[in-house]
Amino acid sequence: MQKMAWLFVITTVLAVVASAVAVVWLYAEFGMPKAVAGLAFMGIAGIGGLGPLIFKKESGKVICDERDRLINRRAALAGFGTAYMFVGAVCMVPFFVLGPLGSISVTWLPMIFMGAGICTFFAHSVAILLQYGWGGEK
Amino acid sequence: MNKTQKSAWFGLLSYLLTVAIIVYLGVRFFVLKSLPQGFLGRGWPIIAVYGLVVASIVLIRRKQSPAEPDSDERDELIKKRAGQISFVSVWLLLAIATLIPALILGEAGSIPVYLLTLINVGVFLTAMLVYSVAVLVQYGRRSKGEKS
Repeated sequence: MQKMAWLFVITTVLAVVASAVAVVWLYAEFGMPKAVAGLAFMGIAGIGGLGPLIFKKESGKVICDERDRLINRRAALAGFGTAYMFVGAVCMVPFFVLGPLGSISVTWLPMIFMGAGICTFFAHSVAILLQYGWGGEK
Repeated sequence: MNKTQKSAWFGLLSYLLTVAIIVYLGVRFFVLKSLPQGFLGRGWPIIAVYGLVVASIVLIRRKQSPAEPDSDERDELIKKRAGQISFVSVWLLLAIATLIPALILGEAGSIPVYLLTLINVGVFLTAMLVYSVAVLVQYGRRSKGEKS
């Protein structure tokens, strides 16, 4: 579980940094509509989802006990809470910045969904690592 | 009725009250285009919310007997399942609320920002509704719990 959490944290950080650099660079070169293409680097975060395939269970070995389940459950709650705070902030900030009569491009909506998903998995992974103390020892 | 069931009932009542207030305010603002007059006309949502909060605090804290535990293994399992169901339903609703308008309106489309606040409130209310209903369904909607 820790190895998978590390994989997800590393791939997500890489994806966010690469996307930010690409968006800034494309914005400076080509302007806004084309700069959004830099978000394609967020696909790197998808590698984190391959954790169960990369770190396969060794046959006959117990890899998860009660404590691990409790940690995973708390981490899932932390992920959900973080995602909800993200959605709440992203939904309320434009209302207060632009005013109730303002409008935004509909292309922001899928980004909100994607951001909430990444927040969930990232916070879940960080919460797992925090509960284990970041180290390899249980 | 144990603490988990009472909490679920109050969650359900809170959902219904919130929906009633939103519908009432929506009709007043967008259909009748006038604010209600008088103290009760304007203040009933606040009075109702405070009443529900006070009643929930008093009734949820009151136990059937002094020896009654706050929750047992079965309650924890029911809450865990309800949380999982609520989690999945919130993600489904969020996906529908964000992806379908983008597909319908296309890249050039735009939406008013107050719809974002409705999405936010809608997601929260759905989580509360689904969790409460899932808890009550698992207990069998009766005060004594499900049949064995």
